[in-house]
Amino acid sequence: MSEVCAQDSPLAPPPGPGITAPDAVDSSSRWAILLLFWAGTKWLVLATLLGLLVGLKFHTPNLLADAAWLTYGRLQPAFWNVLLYGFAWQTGLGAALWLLVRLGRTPVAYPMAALAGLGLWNLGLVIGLVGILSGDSTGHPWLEIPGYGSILLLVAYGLIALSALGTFSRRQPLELHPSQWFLLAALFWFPWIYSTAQLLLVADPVRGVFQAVVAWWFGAQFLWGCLAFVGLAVLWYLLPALLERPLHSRYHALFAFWLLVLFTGWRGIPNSAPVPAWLPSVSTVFAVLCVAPLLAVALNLHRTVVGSYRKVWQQPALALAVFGAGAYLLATALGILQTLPSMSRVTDLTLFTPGVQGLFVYGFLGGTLLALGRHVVPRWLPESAAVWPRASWPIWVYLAGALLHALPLILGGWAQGKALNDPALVWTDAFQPALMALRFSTLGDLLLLVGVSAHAWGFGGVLLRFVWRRTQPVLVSALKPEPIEVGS
Amino acid sequence: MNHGPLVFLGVLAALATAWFGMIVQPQLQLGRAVPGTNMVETTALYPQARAGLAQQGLQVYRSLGCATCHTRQVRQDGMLVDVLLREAGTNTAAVIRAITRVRRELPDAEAERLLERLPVTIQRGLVDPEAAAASVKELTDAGARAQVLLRPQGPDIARGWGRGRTVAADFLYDQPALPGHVRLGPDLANIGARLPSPEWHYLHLYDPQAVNPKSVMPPHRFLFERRRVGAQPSADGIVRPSAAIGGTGEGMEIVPTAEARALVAFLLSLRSDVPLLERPVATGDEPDPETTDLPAAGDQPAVDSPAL
Amino acid sequence: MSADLNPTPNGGDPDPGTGQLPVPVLLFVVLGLLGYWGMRHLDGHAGGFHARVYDPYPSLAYVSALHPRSDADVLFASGRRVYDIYCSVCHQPTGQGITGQFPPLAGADWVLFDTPYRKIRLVLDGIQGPMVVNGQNYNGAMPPWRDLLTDEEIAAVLTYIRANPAWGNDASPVSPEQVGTIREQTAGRVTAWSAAELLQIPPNQ
Repeated sequence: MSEVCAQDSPLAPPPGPGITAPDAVDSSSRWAILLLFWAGTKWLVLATLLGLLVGLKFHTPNLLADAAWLTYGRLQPAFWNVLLYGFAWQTGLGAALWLLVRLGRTPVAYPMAALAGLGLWNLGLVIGLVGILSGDSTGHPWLEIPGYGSILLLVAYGLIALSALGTFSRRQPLELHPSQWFLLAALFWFPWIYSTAQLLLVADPVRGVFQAVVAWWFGAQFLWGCLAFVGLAVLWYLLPALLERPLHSRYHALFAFWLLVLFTGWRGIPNSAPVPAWLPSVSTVFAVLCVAPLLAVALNLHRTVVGSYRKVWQQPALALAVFGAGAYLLATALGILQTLPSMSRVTDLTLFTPGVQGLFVYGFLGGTLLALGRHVVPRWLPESAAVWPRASWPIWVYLAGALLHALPLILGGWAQGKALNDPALVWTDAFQPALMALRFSTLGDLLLLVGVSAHAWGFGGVLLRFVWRRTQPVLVSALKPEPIEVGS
Repeated sequence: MNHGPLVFLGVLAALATAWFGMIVQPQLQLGRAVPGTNMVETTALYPQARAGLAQQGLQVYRSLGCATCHTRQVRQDGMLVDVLLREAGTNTAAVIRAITRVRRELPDAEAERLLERLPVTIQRGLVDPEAAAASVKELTDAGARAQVLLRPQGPDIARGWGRGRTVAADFLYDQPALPGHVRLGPDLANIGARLPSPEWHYLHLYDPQAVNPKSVMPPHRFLFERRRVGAQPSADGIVRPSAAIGGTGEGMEIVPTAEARALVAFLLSLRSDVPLLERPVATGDEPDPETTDLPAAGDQPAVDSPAL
Repeated sequence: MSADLNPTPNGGDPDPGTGQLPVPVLLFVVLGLLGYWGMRHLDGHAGGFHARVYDPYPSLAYVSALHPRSDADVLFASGRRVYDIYCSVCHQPTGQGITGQFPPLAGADWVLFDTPYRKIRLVLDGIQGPMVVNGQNYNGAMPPWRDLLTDEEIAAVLTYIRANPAWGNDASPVSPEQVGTIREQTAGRVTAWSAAELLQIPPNQ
């Protein structure tokens, strides 16, 4: 099924070659954003592949076990770092740039900085990935990239942020859209938390269990702060754009924004942690306070979409976005619930947490960013509007995969926690519920890989086609032989 | 909300406050901690620095990503206190009076019968340690010898993974400190006490399924080398109970590399059962369920803790 | 390609705008209730924000009370009383002494020395004459306490002096048995010690 939205809307560009979409960007800034999306997509394919490998290792521990490079303890951090920094945050930065351009009605500022940042970011990731697999991992969850890689990431981020903030400062409309608030918060949040983590863990490590406190804090800030803000910024824009209805209320978004900004910074320390009692309880209190902004977000999203839920089946981009919204609400609610002592007694240190994180990244971020990509790319590569996205089966496969990956982990994690809390069960028996959950989750990983690969294939094909169309006349004229002068 | 700089300042203020509360404040409390004499019963320092090989082993632990599956966190749900009467002393009548003051519902005859099977638990499952101390004082003043027994509660402790919860002091000398975040394998906080045999660890690292057929732990065969036996077999060569993957073959032996030795030395150094001010541990003498007339309400049954 | 530079406000996207509906009051009420819950939670679970209080213990007092009071603790508590009555007059309640007159006890080398036997002799029979404490010279006289203090009292006050955390001292306690042994060994002595004499006795006697 093709994208009905693009063809029915009176504002859509007519199909056909050679017609460029009226767009407020110049070609170089288009490239910065497109390549961020494309790089993110490639890393997503790698991430799902690594995720599948990691999952398979639970069923055949001997798989690829002969090399230290591919042992589970190195592949799993590789998977998470690729997923988070390669796909989620990089694509998020691309989305941020695009949203700032679109909402600010101005081209990208300092596009060369953005492109340089993009190159450096991917270089840093490759170096970091090799570092993790070769044993230089720092050991801290989600911060395993060694110092020589993370410094590149930080510098690259600075360049991209420079471009983004420059774009923001050149905006034309005076009134700020809610997405712009959330993007400002996300763009500021990341360098603060990442440099704190690198300083206190890598550059001049602090002593003892406080390292783990910094790592836990960073993880929560990155997930519930940076990534959530970017994803919400995309949703505030995309849902109204796809449905051609206004966002329900600016003030709901305002309420949610300030409360999330106030409360998120205190979250992160789990109840099981070997730290004085006040640290986890402060994190719990602020996590529970986040229920209020969560309700505001839910209300805002629901009231924006209500009445049009059936359109989800006809517009895959809308399906992705609505699924993403639902995943955000569920994952955030579960993330808050699991900080309560009565819940954490069961869910701490089980698969519940990676399940919620998987739902958040694959479901919420993957859904919203892929939806944005499918919405944006045809407008910028108008030749592609007729050819991509054409098939929507990758989307349904992706959504099924995301659900199948995350929900078994969440349910199985709960069962695992219950079993762990029964001291009559030896470890191997207590782990059985988790193993069952992992079987389903690995199936989900397979579906994710298939869906994402098909999406990337289509996206890559469209990019290639675009590049070819642009360069073909140049090449042809360069290769055409000079006309021979006849006569004197 | 239409001024970019104002939004930015608001975000900055909020994040700075949280950063101060969650990073700076704990750093002041924990990050500059030094080994302290907060040990109970002695004035020794805790923790002691690990031996050099164990320190290297921590780096192997980090590099191989052991913390992705294993935790070093023993959790605790609560603490119950028992009062144990060990000896009745010379003045039996006074002791009986003391027992009936402590256990008001007990008739004198019952109290006398209790004295027949010393050591006996007089009070079980108390939550208030001051009440327990008062009971002990009553009994001691009457000439008996009594003591307070601590029983930390929680499934991790009941499973034998520790005698008290893990605390910050246990990680003081760890660089990096990796308490773990998910249990895909058993907890390792006290593995040095639970499984003190290096041979078990070498075999388990080489072929986990040989030790536990249902284990999902990947084999770490790259930590070992297979070589020809020299004049006599190495002392720590692995003896394998069954010919599973990678049989030894004639005249060959499987020997741990330096990395494996370091890792096992690290694992054997993992203990977190030292009694500290902030971590009261289970008192060594566990009350025999036979030596009390009181039901074991409010706590889990004692279990023959398996090693795993 | 020049068409790419054509700035139009829309970018081909519909621009539906944002609504202006106010936030329901209920959400503020929810926020308030959650804030109240949070305060209660911190009361019960934050352990007074103390660095040594871990979940599940509610306070430092509770976790301190869980540790059986050892004999040394009992001695320490009664030693404080003995010190206040008899020793603080000269050595000061702060244990700092008076420079040139009465040696300090806080951080003093004589106090923190491994074995307590010199100190026990010193307390039993007093000390007179020149003495160097922490590099400072003193030349005073300390009266004997043999007949005024029992073994338990001397052990208690020495335990207190040696292990008083307020003074930064953290040395091992002294037992009444140790005092009793030295008392017997030195029975019959009538003159005060001199520093030189004490320093000649091997540390473990």
